[in-house]
Amino acid sequence: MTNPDWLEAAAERGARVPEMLGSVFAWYRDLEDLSVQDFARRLGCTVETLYWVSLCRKPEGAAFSEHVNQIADHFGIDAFELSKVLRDMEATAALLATENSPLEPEARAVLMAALDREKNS
Amino acid sequence: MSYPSREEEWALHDQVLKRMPVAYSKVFALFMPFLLKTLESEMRCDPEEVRDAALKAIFDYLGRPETYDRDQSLLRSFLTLAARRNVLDSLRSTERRVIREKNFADVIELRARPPNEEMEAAVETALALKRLERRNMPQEDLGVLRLVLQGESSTLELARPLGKEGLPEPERKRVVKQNRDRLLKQLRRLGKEEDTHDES
Repeated sequence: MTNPDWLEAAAERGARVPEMLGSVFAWYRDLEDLSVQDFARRLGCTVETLYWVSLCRKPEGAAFSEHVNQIADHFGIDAFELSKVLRDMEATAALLATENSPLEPEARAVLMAALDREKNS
Repeated sequence: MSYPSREEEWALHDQVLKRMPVAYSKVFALFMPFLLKTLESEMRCDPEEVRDAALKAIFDYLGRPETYDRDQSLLRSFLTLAARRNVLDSLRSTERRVIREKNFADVIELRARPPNEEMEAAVETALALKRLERRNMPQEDLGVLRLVLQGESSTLELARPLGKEGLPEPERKRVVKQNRDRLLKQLRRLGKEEDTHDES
């Protein structure tokens, strides 16, 4: 992967676009208080590769696993870690949505437990 | 730098339309170098401005890939056109900001004289008025001149010492102009006389 001088600016801009993977990464890093370097290490890649991955579209829907594998294969990153980060953030988004909705406390507790299990797995 | 072929562009566009994640990153890799090179050679502007314009063009396209019609043009032409428009928009907005700031600075400059100039002007005005008073100038004329020397330009204000503020506006304007011109002529004459006295 080349490292052009516009790459970082592109990744930063992508972090503000909800459809881009970069926006999920930015949120995750923020919640986990991770530096770019630490996060790149977690995905098993360099910071430059992380920037390129940030410019991908966020995998969603039925093709989620297929898309995660495509990204991992193309950039040589850890598919398992990427999938875990994305699932974790999906669960967090769902939890936030339910916190703002009139969900029963029991149902919220189930969601919380699911999120914890996901994190610890 | 090698340009993508028409077939490569079409294949990539199809992948973007299918929302395939890696295709998005490939669009940047494939078109950013081309856009930067083209814009930098065509438009005389800041490299950062060019970079932002090119990035905006690509992000806009990825946000709404359906806006590109492959029967109309090559994808690189479509993106170049969008990026060029972004550069022009940015230049125009910078130009507007500069004009706005200049206008604002001009107004500030006109309204707020530096304190030393303000004091000098006040002293000069007071001296000039004393000289005029010594010449037994009518009070109405002195009133107008005092206001003119203080920088007053409103015809209503200038009409007050003349007792003409009640006139209809067009008439008031005409009377004020007439009196102001007459008084300024007198002032010039007075100035010349004073110079001659000083010299003699």
